Amino acid sequence: MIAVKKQPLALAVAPALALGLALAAGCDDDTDIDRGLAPGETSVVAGDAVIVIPLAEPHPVVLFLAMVVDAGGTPLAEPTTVDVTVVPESDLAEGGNGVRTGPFAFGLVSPATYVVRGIVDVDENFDLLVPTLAAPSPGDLLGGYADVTTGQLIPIPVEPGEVLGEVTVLFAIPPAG
Amino acid sequence: MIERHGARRCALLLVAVLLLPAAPALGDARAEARRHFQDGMSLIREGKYEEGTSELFEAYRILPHPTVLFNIGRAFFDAGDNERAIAQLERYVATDPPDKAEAARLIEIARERLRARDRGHDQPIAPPRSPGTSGPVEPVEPRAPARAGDVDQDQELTLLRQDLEKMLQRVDALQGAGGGAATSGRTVRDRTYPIVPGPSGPPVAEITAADAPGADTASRDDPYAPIVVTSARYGQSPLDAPNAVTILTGDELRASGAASIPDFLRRVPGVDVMSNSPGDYNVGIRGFNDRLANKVLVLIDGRSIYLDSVGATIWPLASISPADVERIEIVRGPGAALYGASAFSGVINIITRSPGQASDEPVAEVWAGFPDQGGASLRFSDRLGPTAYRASFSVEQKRRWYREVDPARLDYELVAPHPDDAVRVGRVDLRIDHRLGRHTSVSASGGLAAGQNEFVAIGALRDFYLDGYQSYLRGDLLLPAGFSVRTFWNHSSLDVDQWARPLGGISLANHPTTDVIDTEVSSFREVDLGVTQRFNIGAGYRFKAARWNWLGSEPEEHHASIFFQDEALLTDDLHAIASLRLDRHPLLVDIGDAAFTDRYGFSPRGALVWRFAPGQSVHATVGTAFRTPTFLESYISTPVPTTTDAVVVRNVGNLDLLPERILGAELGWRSEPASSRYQLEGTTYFNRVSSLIELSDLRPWPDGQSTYDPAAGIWYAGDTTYVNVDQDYDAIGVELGGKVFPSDGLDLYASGSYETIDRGGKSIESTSPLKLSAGAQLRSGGLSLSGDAHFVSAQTWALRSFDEAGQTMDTDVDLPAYVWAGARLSYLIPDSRLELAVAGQNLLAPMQEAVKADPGDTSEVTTPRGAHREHPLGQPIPLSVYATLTYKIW
Repeated sequence: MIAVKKQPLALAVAPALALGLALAAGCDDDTDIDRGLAPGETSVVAGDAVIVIPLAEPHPVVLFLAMVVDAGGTPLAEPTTVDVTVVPESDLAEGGNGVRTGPFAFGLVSPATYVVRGIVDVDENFDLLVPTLAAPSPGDLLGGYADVTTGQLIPIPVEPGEVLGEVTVLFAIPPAG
Repeated sequence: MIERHGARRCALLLVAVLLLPAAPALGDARAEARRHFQDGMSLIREGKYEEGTSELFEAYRILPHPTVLFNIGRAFFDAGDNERAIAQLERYVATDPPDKAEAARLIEIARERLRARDRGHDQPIAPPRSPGTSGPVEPVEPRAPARAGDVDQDQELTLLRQDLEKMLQRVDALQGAGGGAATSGRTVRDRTYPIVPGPSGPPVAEITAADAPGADTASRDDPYAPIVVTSARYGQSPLDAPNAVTILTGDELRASGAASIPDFLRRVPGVDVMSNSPGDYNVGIRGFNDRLANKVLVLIDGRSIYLDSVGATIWPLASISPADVERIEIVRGPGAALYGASAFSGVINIITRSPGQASDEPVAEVWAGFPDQGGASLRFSDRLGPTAYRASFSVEQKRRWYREVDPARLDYELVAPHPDDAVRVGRVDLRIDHRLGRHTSVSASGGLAAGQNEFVAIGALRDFYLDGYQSYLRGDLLLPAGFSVRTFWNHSSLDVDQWARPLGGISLANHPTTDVIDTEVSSFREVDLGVTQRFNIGAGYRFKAARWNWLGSEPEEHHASIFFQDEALLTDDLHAIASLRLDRHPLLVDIGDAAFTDRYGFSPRGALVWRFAPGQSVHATVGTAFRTPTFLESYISTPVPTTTDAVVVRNVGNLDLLPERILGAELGWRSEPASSRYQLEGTTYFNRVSSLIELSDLRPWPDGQSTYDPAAGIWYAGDTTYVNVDQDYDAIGVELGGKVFPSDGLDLYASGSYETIDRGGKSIESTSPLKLSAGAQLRSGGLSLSGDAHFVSAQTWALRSFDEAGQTMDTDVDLPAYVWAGARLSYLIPDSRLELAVAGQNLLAPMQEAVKADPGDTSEVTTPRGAHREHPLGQPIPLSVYATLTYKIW
């Protein structure tokens, strides 16, 4: 038998107590965010697409988020589309007077200034992935997040980490011709 | 780039903790016990019974093994110390060994001696038998004049002696012929003492891998000798294994302080361990490790825990805890000849403690540490005559090391039910064994692991969680003549989704439910056809089914297999092993290769093992293996988001995939001298890997086909699917490993591996070419200290992502070399059942400098100070410290 020298219990327990104190001291905290792994902090631009021109049937709404001023404050020569989203027909709710409304959201929006434009694809021939079809056709409704009195698009400055949730995109311009 | 507070304070506290006198645990005692056993048997052979049995008692104290009790009893028996012989043999019989009848006869003889002595007969002390002789057990006794009334008893005694002598002669004859108990064929020559009346005929059939054919009987001559069952599917000395094999014991595991079984495997040469979170471990062998690693077959007692649906092992959802582990066998090299698909580059077989072992004391354990982690386990096991059972329960919770997304962010929604936890799992595992006869046993077991686990998904996907359960039911039947039947049912039901989802992004929630039912019948026979042949034959059937909203169908697959292995003992020192397995698998396609015809795959292996000197052997092996496509790779049909909300890429399965294939050749050397002072192994190998499966580039849909999904309001930019890489990869590597036991209480080990892969100029995700490990364990009294360090060289990983148009982009990301270190200090409080321990993992992390992305690296992967990454998308691994309190209940 190997003789074992007795040791006071308190001494043996000391490491556990020390560790317990270490834990109680709060070695770690809740702020360990791995920014090397995470995407940069972005924002959300969300709201509703509102079609105020009565249509016989619902049609999908294609919305474009376009940058007009970059993160450094430099205006772009022309709006540059950075994201596209669609409000499917099934998400459009019909209200009174034939007004149809559907929610949309652009996620992962980097800090910059944007405008939101869109079309109601009335003739349903829009195709984002076919260059010749990735533009409004004469039968489509055009709209945007705009000042209803001037018809000018409203720039949306986006700061990191915010949700801009009341962007109403109105479709009130009848089809061309 | 990281927000951390208190790291320096933690480091100081850690140092303070480690400097304090701490506590417990019995370390890896097998080699130590073996030395005492061998010393004791040598002394007994010299007639030094007192000294010899003292050594045996010491061996038993270090690591209880029933066979040692028999040998102690037998030594006392031979010495004529009948009282003590009876006491020890009765302890042996109480363990319900297969040969308890023989032990009972010895007890009866000893009792007869006592009765004879009481009657006035002189009972001389029996001289020791010469090693290897098969002479009579009993010396010729001067018989006392017969007295009236003694005749019947003397006749009975004579009959008993005759029975015993015949039985021993039969056993010795079998062993001398290389049969029966000697599964290695070497145990005859290496046998140190005619110890135990082992079973005649072939070794017992398999109950579980722990009790595989030969595993029991091979231990009779040397109960602490290392046994490997995974390499040939029957118990054999590692010296006779036809593959590079490393055996790690459960004691080593527990003494190492490793936070998980994969962490413990870092020390094995040729094994790659990639940890991406506290619950996400990917283990590869000889390269080609990856997220959701799929080239190593992981078994628990021979039952696959490889999740066939995705081709990965979800380690935290295995229903075992480190306390359940008896040993882990790591067999490197292609293993399809015995295990079929998925044993691509190696097999890891975790062998649990059999119920009712003498050394298996009921244990309760609690532990806690930082980063926030804690758990508890309860395990007990007992034997009630021929029935033995065990039950284990554990809970475990580990917080994520880092968050990918600040929970305060408004642009993301945290989807995981417990977003702060990487592991939040409870487990239960039950097993009951019942011995029906000497060669007939039945075993039933089952387990459940439920909870949440976090992992890094494949391709362009990142941080995911799964929440649900995995369960199994298993039955084993062991029959005479080496027949065994094993069946199991693995079931899993999981909710899987992104850990955090960007607002407005599409949902990737999915719900895989999978079932695997597997049945196998096998038989091990040893036949003398002029040359002794060990035949191992088996046939199996596997049913697999998945119900998963990510798949385009609800696939069901039926697999069938047969395997055959013959180990021919050409001489005592030279064995030739030929193995062949035929798999019928619905996803095997005809590739114009003799090895794979439509739905059938052949996996041959050939090996020569030569024991060129005592305790030393070399082996040369050529083998093949394949990995069949998983359900995911074959049937998936699901959208994957791009950076444009309205554009997705469809990930679709490919039913025309070829299996991944490997042809491996290796030359290995192993040295395990009888002195048990050291073990060395070295292997060099060549692998040719073909038809690797990877994700394709984007494939636009044909012109004219609408890519718009009106219901979802999304356009499909095209498909990515799984394809075979049209290139072979040639890998050449060398692996070295060794353990040294310079004195009682001190174990040292070192290992290293280097591999070079010819990629033909094509980038592949790759693991480190150079890995070095070293460690030590020191035990003194109740104090145990262990430490490990692992160097892993730099790596380059190709990361996939999609641009705004859905086009695939691969970015090479370099990760620097790192050193991973761990230590554990434990103390067993004298005269108590309480053990205290403090363990630290990744101890050098506080010294790790931050890593910035290269200027041209568009992946923007950086690593914060005080941590390292093992994959670019894995969480940085910080220092981890935890304390454990273990209590032996009775």
